[in-house]
Amino acid sequence: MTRVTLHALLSHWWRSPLQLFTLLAGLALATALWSGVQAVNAEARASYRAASTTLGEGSYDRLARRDGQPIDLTTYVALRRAGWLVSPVITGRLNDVRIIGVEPLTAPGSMGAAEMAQGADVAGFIAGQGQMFGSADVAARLPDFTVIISENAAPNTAVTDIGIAQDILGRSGEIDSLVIVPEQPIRQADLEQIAPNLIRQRAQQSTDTAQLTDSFHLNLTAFGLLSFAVGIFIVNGAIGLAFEQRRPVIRTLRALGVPLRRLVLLMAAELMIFSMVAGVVGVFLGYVIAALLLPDVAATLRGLYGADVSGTLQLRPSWWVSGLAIALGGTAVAATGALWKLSKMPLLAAAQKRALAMAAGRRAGLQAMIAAILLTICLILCITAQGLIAGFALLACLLIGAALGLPFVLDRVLSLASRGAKSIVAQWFWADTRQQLPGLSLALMALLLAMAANVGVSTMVSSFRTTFTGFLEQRLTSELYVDTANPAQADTFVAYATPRVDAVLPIMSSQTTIADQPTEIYGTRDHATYRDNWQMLEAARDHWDTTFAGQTILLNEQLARRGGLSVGDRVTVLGREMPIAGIYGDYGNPIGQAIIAEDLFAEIYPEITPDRFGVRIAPERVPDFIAALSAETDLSAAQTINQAGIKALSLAIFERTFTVTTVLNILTLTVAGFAILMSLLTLASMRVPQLAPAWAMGMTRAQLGRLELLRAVLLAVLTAVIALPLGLALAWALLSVVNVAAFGWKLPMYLFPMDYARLGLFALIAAALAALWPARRLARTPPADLLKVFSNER
Amino acid sequence: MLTVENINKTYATADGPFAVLRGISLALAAGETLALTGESGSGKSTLLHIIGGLDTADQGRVLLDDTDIAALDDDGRAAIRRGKIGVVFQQFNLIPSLKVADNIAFQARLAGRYDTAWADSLADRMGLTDQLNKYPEQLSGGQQQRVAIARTLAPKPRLVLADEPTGNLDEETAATVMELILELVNETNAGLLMVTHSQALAGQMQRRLHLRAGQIA
Repeated sequence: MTRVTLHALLSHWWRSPLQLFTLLAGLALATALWSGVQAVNAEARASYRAASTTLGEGSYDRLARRDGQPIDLTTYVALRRAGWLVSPVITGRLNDVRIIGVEPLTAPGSMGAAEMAQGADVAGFIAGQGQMFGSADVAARLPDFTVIISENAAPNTAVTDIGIAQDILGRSGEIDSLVIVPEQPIRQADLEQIAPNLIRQRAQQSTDTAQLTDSFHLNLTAFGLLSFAVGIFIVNGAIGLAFEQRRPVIRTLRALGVPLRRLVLLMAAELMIFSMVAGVVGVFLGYVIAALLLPDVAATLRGLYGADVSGTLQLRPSWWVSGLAIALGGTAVAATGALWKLSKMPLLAAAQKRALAMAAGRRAGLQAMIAAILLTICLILCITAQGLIAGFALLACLLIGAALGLPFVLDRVLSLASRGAKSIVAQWFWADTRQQLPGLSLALMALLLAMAANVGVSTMVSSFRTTFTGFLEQRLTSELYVDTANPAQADTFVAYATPRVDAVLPIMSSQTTIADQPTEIYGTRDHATYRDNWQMLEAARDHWDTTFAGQTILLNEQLARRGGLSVGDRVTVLGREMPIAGIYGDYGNPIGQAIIAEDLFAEIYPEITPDRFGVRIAPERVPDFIAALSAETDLSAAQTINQAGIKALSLAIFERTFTVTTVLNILTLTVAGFAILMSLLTLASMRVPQLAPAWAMGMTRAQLGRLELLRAVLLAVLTAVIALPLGLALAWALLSVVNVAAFGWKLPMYLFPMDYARLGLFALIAAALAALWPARRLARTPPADLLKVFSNER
Repeated sequence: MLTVENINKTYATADGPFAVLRGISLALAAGETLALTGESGSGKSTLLHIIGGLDTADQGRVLLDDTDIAALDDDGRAAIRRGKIGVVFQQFNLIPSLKVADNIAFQARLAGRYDTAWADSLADRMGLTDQLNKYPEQLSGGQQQRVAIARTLAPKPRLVLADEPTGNLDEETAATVMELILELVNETNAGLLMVTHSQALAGQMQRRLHLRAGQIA
């Protein structure tokens, strides 16, 4: 019995290959987007883990100089003699490979280099024979070195003995930081006495790439989930229609003696088989998407956070298993309602005509009510939401509420339009469109979500771009930046430049802790450059005057938010308490920052002298000034950075940051367009009985086809009109709630009408193209098929 | 073979409860044919559905070979339907995605009693031999009803229930189809209970019962 029944059930799909394709393709696309994103995330996280193990980042405390300069060998020796078990580390780049020099004999046991050295040629590593450990990719990029290939190596990283690294990097005798071995002797001299210029960085205060990039991956995951949701709408629609079309068959099967329970189980099994097939295809497609996205993600993470991510993809179980699981889970979610209704369906009521429309009509009220509840929760969260979870809850309520409310709103709009209809054809058109709504609502919901995501994300990205460009203009005001090698060279430069340029602005900073947050504190000279260009998000009156007078401090937004600080609050910097006079935007910077007066900085950190300078000079004089500087002092042109170059580099990094979201946006919209096409094609086959009477009464098939096309475009226009405010609400939530929680800064929101118009046009073209084929098919329906409607029950 | 005792059935309507069947009792022997006539809404289709295990009665017993169908659960009624009862519907109710040959074999295979020779013989006598590889939608209404009859008789059921089997057919086709049903039912010694509006068709049955307002008139 099971075989015969399964054969009858499966025969439906073989006779309706388009529907089978819709189901499989929808599920495969949904799984592909989800697993693609998960693959990128898994790859990136694995890279962080490898990097963390190799470098000991996030695991060990470190000692570094307050001024960020290299530690000299004598300080290291003094610390070791005083009982400090520390190990020197140096890092740098060669051929775009991160070179890490460690001392294997003193490095903590679990640091990657020491681990990798085991079982390999340790002697060669220690003896300074130029050996390195790294991936095959690294070996290819460093052909002049002996690279021992290690599977566990961090991506794009080579580990070698510190002596070799110093030679390679041209930094003989320099040490970047000292890793503190966890087990230290009980008796140990005070750090302040031996090396007062060093600061201890706690493991969690170091640059923990995994933490910093979590927010980025959270965004990616959210988009993956949104894309999956759009795909699930397709699957839900395909399953719903398939069940609807099979209702008479199900009644027949039951009437012929197939038990209901067996029927439900077989239909569930049938769907699970399909979801496994689609899941495998989806995971494969996801792999392709991930492989295409990964280079951009890797570049983004390197640019934004300095995190190295492998540019190649591995088939990690964590994401392909999750891809298959979500394909099965998604199908289960999409099919549960249909299977539940089937199990409760009385045998004799099973083949009711237009049961889908009737059921949808009954559902519409409930759906509108749920939508109203979700949108109310959304409104409450708009006012109260804080943190990522609340932010995403807000987004979920907003998107799901709007999607569920869409059929109700469209129905009301169509009802209103039908009242104004004068001709009988127009009256029939509006009434027929309303009748079509239940069958199309899932595809329209998918379109709504895809378009809203597009509007929301493009608004966020463009707002970010506008703000960031303005921010670069204000922060990189100086026309030229100069790096000096040592205090003597700095003095030479200041003496040379001061009479020749408009202003020389020293840039000096140190690491400290303010309100328990790791902070980079800057000493800043009183100059119009800052007063005229820096925009404060919140400020007291005369904030520059009081700050330059050494009475107040300015904080960046991230530090203010994380520390729960606002203007007027008092903070302590190395024992000095001072009020906050202003909070400024500092986009792209993951850590806290503070500004105090130059004199005050020199008082607090007398050991730090400026080694970087901003130079105000007429832009056209920059090349000549650099040439003269190189000729007349010991500074080289390589020590100068033209402002235009920095801006171009910063913007290039930023542009790549959102390449991934742009690609996902396009894919999501494509999936929604596919949903409309498939829904219209499926409905077209069910439309004949509804169109036949209109044809019989004198409308031509071409006229009917044109009206079908018009209907699809009209519904897409209405959906697009609703998607616009929804997208803007989404952008607001992303910029004002999610962004603040994930990145620490709030961005002003800008509107881009031309972008929205272009998107609307694209959606209309997609809907029109999707409707063209089914409309053409309807327009060419043979009269014999239309006549069948009257000759027998279909 | 079939004994129906005191069947009652009431539907809830907007105007209150409506008793569609009120104390119906009847009996049918193997090989016997019985026509059930009555006006629309008299309850004849409801009675047929209850006897066929497609619907349940509020009260009463339906004994088919000493098994009380009314007392069975859904699985039990499904087993009786596939094993002992064949139903010919007015709307044919073929499985559109299966070919004619598979439709004819379907219920016999469900019951585990598929006899190739008998199925071929049925197809031949129904004039369907050339149509076996077609799908139902490629057949005329009369041909589709013949497929439905062949499907019903393929497992050689003990009881054949027919609900207006010729209601969708023209007069000439209806007469041919009816002739075939009677011939095959006679050959398999099945009992036949047929719901019809047509006095002419009812006249071809051995017995007839007329329902009026849920009672046998």
